[in-house]
Amino acid sequence: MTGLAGLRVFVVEDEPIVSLALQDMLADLECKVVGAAARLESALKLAHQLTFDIAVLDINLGGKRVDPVANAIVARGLQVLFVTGYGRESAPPHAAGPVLEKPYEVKGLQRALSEALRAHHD
Amino acid sequence: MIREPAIDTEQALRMSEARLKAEATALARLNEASSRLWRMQSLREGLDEMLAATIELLGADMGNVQILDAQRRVLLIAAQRGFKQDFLEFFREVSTEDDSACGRALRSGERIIIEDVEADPPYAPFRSIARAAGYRAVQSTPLVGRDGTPLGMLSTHFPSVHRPNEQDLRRLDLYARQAADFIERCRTDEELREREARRRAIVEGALDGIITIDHEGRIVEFNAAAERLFGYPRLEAVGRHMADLIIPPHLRDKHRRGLRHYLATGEASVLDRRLEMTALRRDGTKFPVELSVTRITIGNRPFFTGYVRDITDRKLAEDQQTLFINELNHRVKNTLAIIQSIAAQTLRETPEPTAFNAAFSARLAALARAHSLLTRELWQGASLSDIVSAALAPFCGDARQEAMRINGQPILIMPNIAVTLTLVLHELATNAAKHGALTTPSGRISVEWTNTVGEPGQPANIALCWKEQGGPVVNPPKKRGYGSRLIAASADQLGGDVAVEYKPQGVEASLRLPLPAKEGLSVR
Repeated sequence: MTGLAGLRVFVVEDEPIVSLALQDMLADLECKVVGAAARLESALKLAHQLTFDIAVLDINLGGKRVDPVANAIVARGLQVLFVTGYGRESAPPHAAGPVLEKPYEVKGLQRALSEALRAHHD
Repeated sequence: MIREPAIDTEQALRMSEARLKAEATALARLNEASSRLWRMQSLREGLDEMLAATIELLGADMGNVQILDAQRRVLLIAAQRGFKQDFLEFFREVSTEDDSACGRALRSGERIIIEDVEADPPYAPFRSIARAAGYRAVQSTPLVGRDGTPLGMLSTHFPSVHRPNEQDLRRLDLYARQAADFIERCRTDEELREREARRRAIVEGALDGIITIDHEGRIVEFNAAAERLFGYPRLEAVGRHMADLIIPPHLRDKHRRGLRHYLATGEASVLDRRLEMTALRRDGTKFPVELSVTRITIGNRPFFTGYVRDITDRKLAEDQQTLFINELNHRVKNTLAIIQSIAAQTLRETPEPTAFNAAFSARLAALARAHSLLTRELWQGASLSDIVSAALAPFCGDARQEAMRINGQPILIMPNIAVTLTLVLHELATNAAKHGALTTPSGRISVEWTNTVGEPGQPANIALCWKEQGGPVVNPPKKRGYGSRLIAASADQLGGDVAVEYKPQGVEASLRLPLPAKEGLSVR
């Protein structure tokens, strides 16, 4: 009933605890988590391999910026939603869509996902 | 009879010629002495010269020049001719109280002539020293500055009873004037030299670079700190355009425009305030400086003095502070996100408020212990044995000491991994306390790890093994709990493998994670 049902999501988040919570929130929104990565290397690999509609990307992965992953996803014509604990200004330049600031709750996640998809289709 | 007046006239003429000749000689001698004086730098040398000329002028045998110590009001001998040690000792210091010729002259401010020291009653105390020195007559003429300040005394001594004639005394006054002028000039020079030495000491001793340029932008002053700062020796810098030397190329035009604009309009944006800009060293490297510029005018021409301070360290500290604040902000946000996640996950598992509170508080406490550990190590990392001990602390009270076995080599773990490991171990221990080895008195848990650091041909890994024994028979859970989900979810962050096995004799969990090359073995 969320309008996001069936959405295939790739989760990139370096904190396992936060990643788990995010995956549970996505499950609550009836999205399908197709994969999760916590490190830049594994995220980059999965970004090329997985089939998904949108990737939720934590901007900082253990001190490394997620930009290469975002670039790979954008190059595939897929959408990204950035998540950050540093504030909006830390988002990469191509983050035209919404940026979700930590900590967030399920409503915020839902809104940001919907906005990101709309921005993509406009 | 007719011839007599002629002879007288001739005699008078001759005498007048002789007087004129003597006058000319005396003036020539004075002229010679004073022209020599102007070339002389040292006071003593000049006074010697003047004294010699005066002695010659007056036909004296000996003499001295004294300088007045203005503070103590005493005359001190600065030059002398013809005296022996005894005399010099005796008259080493003369005050206004003294009745010697120079003492009286100092007191009165006027010339004193004692034609015969033997016939002058007040001179009685000095007669024996006069006899020993070999003089009978003395004159002392005060040396007075142009503004009337007493400067010293010019005295000459004669071997027999004597009074210099008026003409000699007039000439003596000219000599005294020369000597007094010379003393004043020396004092002014000395003051100038001292002032210049002080100024130079201030400029050269300054820790800030001090650079003065003229209105064309050419360097006229470049102090020692500037030499150190920019790498140019003073001699090489002076005369060159400052812009070419120490201003980075892209700022040179702006500097020249600013200088031209100021000279044309008197408007300046850089004067008399602190600016921060980039400067150029001789080796081409750039560095941040704090600069203040003041304008000075010397003889109608403007000069500009810049005070330059290298602020590399300050900039670095500022950058670091910004970095720290950003990092702190990130950590707080991250921690809030973790706490929020823990709360959400705990609520799913235990919606009942009392149970929620217990489980949530225990997890929060584990997180807090991980933070304490990391704070202690300034967030550089934490040792694995400390992490394990911190995670298990609430589960091994006094009665449980022997139930836990923690063993492994010292290993330093990065902060984010340390937090994850603490929470994973907390979940394993919580399960053990609920369903596993910690539910029975005979139950045991061992946490052991080994590493392959430094082994040739092997990636540096650590393998940690959690093993429960002696508890009730274990049945695999029907539904995956938070603990095992968290362990599984941690695998990618840890960059290794994780496995949890529900063996009947006890739960076994193994974690294998790589160590980044720089970590190596902990020293703690």
